[in-house]
Amino acid sequence: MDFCEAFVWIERTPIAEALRNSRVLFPIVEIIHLIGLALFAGPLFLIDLGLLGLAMRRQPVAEFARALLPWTRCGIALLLVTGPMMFAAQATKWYGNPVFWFKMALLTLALAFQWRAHRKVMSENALRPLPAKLIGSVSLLLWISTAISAKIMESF
Amino acid sequence: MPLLRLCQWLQQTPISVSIRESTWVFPILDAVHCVGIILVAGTIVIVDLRLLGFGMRRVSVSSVIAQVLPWTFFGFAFMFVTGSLLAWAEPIKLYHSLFFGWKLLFLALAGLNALLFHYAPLTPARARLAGAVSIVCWISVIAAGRAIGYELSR
Repeated sequence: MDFCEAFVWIERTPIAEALRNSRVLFPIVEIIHLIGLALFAGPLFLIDLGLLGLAMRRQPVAEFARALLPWTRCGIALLLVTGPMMFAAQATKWYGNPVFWFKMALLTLALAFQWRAHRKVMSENALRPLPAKLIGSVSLLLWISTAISAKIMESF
Repeated sequence: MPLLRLCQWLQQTPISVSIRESTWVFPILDAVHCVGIILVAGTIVIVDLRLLGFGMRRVSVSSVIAQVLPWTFFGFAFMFVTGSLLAWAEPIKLYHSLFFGWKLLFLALAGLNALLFHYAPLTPARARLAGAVSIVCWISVIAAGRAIGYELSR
């Protein structure tokens, strides 16, 4: 089975068919995706701005990052469940869309960066200013590009 | 209907026509609008969760509000400017849109809830209620907003 056939197979799974055949199911999944995004991106935005020294200056970044962690995790869980569902519904359409691949590459980078860098951010030892600013700006850049390309791939 | 006539007039203004007919301006405005809403909802939910007793519990409610709210307004500025331009591009369609009405209603409710929270005497129970109402309102704004997209493209 080559790559393209795999996409055809994904599109024929019962979940994908159900999403395509219902008028309300897909929008509901998409709205849950957006709610997950808000839950994830809101705190992340403030953490990154905090690392840059621009927001949330009254307490250490690590402290509020940890306090909000269960909620950002909840957000990312919603994203990672609903995202693949939306993809599956139109897998072959996305296969031919270069912006989709661009978004997935960005997303992989952003998630990998998040995994490595935000462990450092959460740790007890405060980061020195320069690494903190670097992490904050790279994270902001990666996630904003991911969000914008997600929006552009719909109209591409 | 004076409102419909206003929409018809808006629809033929040069700005409306040029946004509607451009290939890229509309999607770019749409993208920035979405990022704006996500920022507004994603930051205000931190305040709402704190009011409900979750999240940043070691920091006082007033300190959370003072630190987070400026960024909510920052997102709101993007959301409002791009939202107005998007509405300017398609006023007649939005006049007939069911979900656009719902979106405005929930936006107004979210605003009213915030004002009441700010100015009315506050009990712990009322603070929790304000947090819960705000979360419900913003989820509804997002849901109705997304539904407008489906409504218009049908």
